Amino acid sequence: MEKEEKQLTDFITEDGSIFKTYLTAKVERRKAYKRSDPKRIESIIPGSITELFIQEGSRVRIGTPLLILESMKMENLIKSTVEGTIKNVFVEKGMHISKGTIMIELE
Amino acid sequence: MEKEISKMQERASAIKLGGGEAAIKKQNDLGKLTARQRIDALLDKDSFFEYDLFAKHEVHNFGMDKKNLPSDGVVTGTGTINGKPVCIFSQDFTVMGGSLGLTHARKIAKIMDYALKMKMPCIGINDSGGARIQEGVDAQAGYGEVFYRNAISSGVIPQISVILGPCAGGAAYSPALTDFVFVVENISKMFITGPAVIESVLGEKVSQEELGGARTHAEISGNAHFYALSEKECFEQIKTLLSYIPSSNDAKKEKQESFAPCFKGKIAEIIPNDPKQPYDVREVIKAVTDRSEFFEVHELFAKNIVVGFGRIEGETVGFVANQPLYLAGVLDCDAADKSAKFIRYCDAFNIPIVTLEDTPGCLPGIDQEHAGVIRHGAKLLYAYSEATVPKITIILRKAYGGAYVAMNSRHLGADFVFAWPCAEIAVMGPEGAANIIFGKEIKEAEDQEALRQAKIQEYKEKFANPYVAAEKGYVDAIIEPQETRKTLAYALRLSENKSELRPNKKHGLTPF
Repeated sequence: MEKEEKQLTDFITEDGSIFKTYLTAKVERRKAYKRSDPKRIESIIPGSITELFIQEGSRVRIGTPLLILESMKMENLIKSTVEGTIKNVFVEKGMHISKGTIMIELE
Repeated sequence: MEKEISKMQERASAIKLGGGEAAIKKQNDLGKLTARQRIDALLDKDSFFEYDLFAKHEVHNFGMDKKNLPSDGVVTGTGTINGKPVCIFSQDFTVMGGSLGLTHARKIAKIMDYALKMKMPCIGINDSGGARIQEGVDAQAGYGEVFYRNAISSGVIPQISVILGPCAGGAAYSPALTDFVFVVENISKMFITGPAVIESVLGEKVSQEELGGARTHAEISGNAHFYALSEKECFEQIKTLLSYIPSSNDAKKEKQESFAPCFKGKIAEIIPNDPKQPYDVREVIKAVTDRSEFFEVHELFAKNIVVGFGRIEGETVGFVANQPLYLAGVLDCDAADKSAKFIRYCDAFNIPIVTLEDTPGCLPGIDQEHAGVIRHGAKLLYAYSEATVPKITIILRKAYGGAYVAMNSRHLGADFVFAWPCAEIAVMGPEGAANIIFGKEIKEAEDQEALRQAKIQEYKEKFANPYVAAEKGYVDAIIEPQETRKTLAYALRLSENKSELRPNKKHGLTPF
């Protein structure tokens, strides 16, 4: 059995009661939920930008092709899921990006 | 004849050297025993009887015809552990990295078939680089044959996986299909895709240890049930586990001699007076078991629930207990998975289940809901309802909301439900209930806080006790904490011949 050296923490349960308890490793590394924002388009996989169809100021509709992100030998066509105007393009053709990079911002 | 015998002995001892002395030294220098040393360390002295020592592969491609692979990289056989017969296979990393080819897999399959037919536990020691690529689809076929036998033997004989080296890709699924997985710090490595693949595909850097080391699987993924710091400690754990569990699902019950608990204090004193303060529920378990012994399963994973084996009057009992020391003992996805698997294990092998309940409900959170806490929680409900072994519940303190129902309540078919006098069986905690029921009144009151406290007190007195449930027969008896062991022993004796029939069906659809 392990030696406990952690501190007791206040822990709120579903009915709002507060208990003194230890946290588990998984709960300790819990991340706050982040709402996805359709106006900030991030890469969900690493890869290279092989085509860029829009530029800053372009008007886009739902389904307008934005760029092609080539990853794992697949060409992934990224389309807009909202209507709007391109505010920022953070990538350029030929660029290699990692996972979670903001590629395009709309307004 | 003498000549023939010595010839055979020569051949056998050459094969027994596996990959040779240099490879053995390399393995030992890594802090690892070899396949044969492990078998000797785990089994009773001189009890090992080896099968297929002379097995040979039949591959001709890629220069394999010139390769001599002693025993095809796996040692298989039978033996005893504390006198109990077991089947065992142990992959030999010194022979082509313990890689699995068709002959290797068929040796494993053969010993698994034997274990199933002869109704004895099957122990697999995994230490393999993976599929033997030179054998192509035959290697995949080999894995498939092992998986199939894992599934067919499930619930008939205990299946134990010991990860003492790499166990990557498809190979990792066999342990996942077995009942108990043992890992050792710095030695065990399990993953489906390794760090190199993850880095090249996703650009994410992670070490083998972080990704799929012993601690990761024992604490985070839950793939491992037992964690040890050395192979020696791991083998001791396996021996202890085997002392608790029967050799098959129709083995006759082995009752050992009954011993009084070593705990001599007052059980009630383990529980703090303030219901919001934690305590270690394992102390309650140890206060009622023979010699105060408790063998915990999944000790590091989902610590908010405790599961494991103990004995009461010599009989093995499976304990499931909420743990107020961690997360106040709430139920979450992992706790439900952990306890559901344990309950199903106990049910399959005729081990009575004792549930000690003290839970304020479920873990709230977006991550929990998105992880599917509904379907995970459903596993627990299903496992308790489905189980036909004697099922005894003792409500120690809190039993709120859905968690009250889930923790082997009368409504899910508990045979006995007892409560301590400090039990609070209610639809929710007093704070939450007062806010909902008297919300309007409290809002309109001049001194809101005073009224809230008064209403909380009123609710506590009316509902946060065991008497309402006892009036309705949901609780059979309210017992003094000091009588817990006596009551459990009585209930176990009473249910010795329990038989409960279920409607005939092919199988149920367990939530996944």
